[in-house]
Amino acid sequence: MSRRTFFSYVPSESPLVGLHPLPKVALLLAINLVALIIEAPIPFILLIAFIAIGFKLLRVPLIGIKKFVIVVIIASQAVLISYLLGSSIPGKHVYIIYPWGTYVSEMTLLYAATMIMRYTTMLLGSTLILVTTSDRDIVYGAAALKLPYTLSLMMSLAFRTATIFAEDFMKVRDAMILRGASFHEGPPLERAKKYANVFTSMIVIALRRLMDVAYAVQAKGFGAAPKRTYYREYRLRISDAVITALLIASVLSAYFLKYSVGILAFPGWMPAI
Amino acid sequence: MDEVIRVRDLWWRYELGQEWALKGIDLTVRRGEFLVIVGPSGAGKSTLCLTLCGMIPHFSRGHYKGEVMINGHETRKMKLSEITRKVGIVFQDPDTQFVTMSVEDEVAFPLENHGVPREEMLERVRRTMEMTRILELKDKYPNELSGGQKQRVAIASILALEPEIIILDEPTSDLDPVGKSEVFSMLAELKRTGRTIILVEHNTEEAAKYADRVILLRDGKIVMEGPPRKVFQEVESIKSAGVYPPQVTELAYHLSTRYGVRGELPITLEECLEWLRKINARITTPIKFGPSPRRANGESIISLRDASYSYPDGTAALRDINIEFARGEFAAIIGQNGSGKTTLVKHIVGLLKPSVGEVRIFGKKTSEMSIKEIATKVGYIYQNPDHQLFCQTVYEECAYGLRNLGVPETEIRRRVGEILEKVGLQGLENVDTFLLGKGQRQRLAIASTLVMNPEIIIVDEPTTGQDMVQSTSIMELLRSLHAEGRTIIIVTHNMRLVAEYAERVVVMHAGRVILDGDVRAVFSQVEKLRGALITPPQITQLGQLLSGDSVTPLTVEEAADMIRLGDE
Repeated sequence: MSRRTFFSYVPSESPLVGLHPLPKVALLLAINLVALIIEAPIPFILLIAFIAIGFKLLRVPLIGIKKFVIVVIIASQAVLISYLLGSSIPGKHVYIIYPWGTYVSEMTLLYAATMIMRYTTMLLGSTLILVTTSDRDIVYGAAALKLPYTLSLMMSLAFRTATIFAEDFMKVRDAMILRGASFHEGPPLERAKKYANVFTSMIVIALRRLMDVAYAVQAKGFGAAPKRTYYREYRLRISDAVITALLIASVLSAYFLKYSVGILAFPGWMPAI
Repeated sequence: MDEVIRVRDLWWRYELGQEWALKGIDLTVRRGEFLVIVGPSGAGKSTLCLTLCGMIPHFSRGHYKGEVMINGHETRKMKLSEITRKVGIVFQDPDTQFVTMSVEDEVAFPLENHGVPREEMLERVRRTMEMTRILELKDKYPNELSGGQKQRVAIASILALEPEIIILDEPTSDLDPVGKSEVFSMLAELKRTGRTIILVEHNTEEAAKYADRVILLRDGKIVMEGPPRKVFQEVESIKSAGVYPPQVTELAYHLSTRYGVRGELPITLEECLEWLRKINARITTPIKFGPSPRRANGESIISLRDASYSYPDGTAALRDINIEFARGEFAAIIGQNGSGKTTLVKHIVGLLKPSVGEVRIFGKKTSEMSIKEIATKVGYIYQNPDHQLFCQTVYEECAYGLRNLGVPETEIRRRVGEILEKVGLQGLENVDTFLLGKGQRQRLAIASTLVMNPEIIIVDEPTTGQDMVQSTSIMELLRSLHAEGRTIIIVTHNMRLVAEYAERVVVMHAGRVILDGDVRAVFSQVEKLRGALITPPQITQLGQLLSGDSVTPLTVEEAADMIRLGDE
């Protein structure tokens, strides 16, 4: 039987299903941390390829990624525009100099491409979290790390309500479309204004939902006992411990390679003067 | 029975509230009692529940006077966690009270919070799931269950703590008739185990069957209290308070007034049959009901041909639908939760396109139309107005659609003024939309769609969570729009509304249309309706029982007209 995750289902034959929550959470944290450490483009491409292969091997349904393609495209456009129009990164060749003083060099393009890859990696990493984990993984993974339960409950509720908010978002957007709004037409400022309207409504809905959730959590005796007990029992096997150790080692290695060896650092970049 | 709850002169005002929500409530609840709270929207029913379970004043800010005692202990002096062991509360919307992502974890969650040892927890979770008949759902994601199943999970998660008192705040308002019965039969079982049950409910017909006592709350005060038999005798008083009495009681009241019959009115279907036998009532033959509602005979303006649709996860929501709607119809689409009703109307408004087959609006395929184009012809009003209101003020909300259509500002002003008058919101143009009450928000949602002058109006659950006065007001508005010649389609679980207002009923089951036709004809198909897990209104069932399924009255007035006394 497939396992429900925050955003999707993972088939029962996925290696993720048998994994202890600790290495699962560690895997997801590792991907996102490494993405934060890396600056150079080639390692990014390798990391993206690694995640893509991971999706395939772990049999994660690719429908989960589909939802985020549009986000990646929008984020990439925003990054590209901001670098092209608003940065002054020195390079060997300067292609355009704007009247307001910024310019475009080959390093500008390289840096923009790198940032796009960083966002893509992090978005893929976040997607991987939402499509492969459930609240149980977060809660029991955090418990294995001896993190406070309140923190893991907050995290799991935040992820879970994110899916509910996504549905609310679609409903409000549909309601606007049914009253003649078009999100694909008009200048960017006007389109942004339309989304602002969606968010006005979303804030009210979110506040009402949060209040309801808060009441429900309290009604179920949250924090009643000084020491919380757990319904499920997960045993950490040697293989789980080895995977977790390898993941921690990979983050540490990435840190070492960037700051001590300089391999993962962005080549030739210097702050704009 | 000894008392488990005592409320003395309780007053409560929310921190930002202008008025007291509760005004001097005095109430005693006995152990093992089944107490039902009824009253119009805004009467203070939910607030009273929150005070009984200690959320007020522990978790809500405001002004509190008086006292609430649970087993002799004042809730203000108890810890909230201590109260949750004794009093469990189930809120109206189960979706927002699920904290975990599996049924089993949801039931275990309160036990984990209370530090129950694991071995004991395993046993209690299993026992509770068995009792609430959700054991086979244990690995399911709670939010993806049917309405009735969700409420059973919500109740189970409270029940696992084995509280003495269970409070339920309108748990059946979003449920289909069968889902409602599931919840009520479970509550009856819980009562047999000796638990005290406090239920806020609009459905007086079910309350009459199970309640030991009913209190009528109005404007923060208890205005009537007693066994259901006593309270529901006051038909006019409870109706004036915005509560529907059981239809059979209303019928008996009509007949008593007409024929001068004295004595106690029946409150359940079985009692009514017995009461009618005792007063020597008989059915007139041949039965002549009043004139049939105006039937549309116009051209077909909506048609679905061999339409099927599956959601991306593979769920087949519509299967081979062939249906047409004519200009000027007032149709109701009914069916159990998850039968495909909303998916069907989303196809009509163009939000979804069929995977197979076609949908046409005014003869044109929706696949060849933009939603903007469809929106000028079809208006869709959501079940939850919060999903449909996104502008700052009432005026802006109504003007939004017209501006998108490029209507000039002077024309917008005229049309918004007209529409606000029509829905009774005139004078509120500059009021913040989110400060309106639920009834007003629902009317604004209707106005904001109506102002675009669509010929077809589709309303999803127009009266959910609304009291009798608000429901009637919305339905009368739809009726007046219908009288103007518009085509109205409602999606609802409220069979009483269907019988009283619609001309045609489409019954859906598992993505298919299984019945379609005149309301009376459809409600006379008892066996097929049972197969679709639909129960006709109480008055219709009574007529059918009296006549051996040959007569199908739709309203209390019709049933009263078909009954004569003695030799008359």
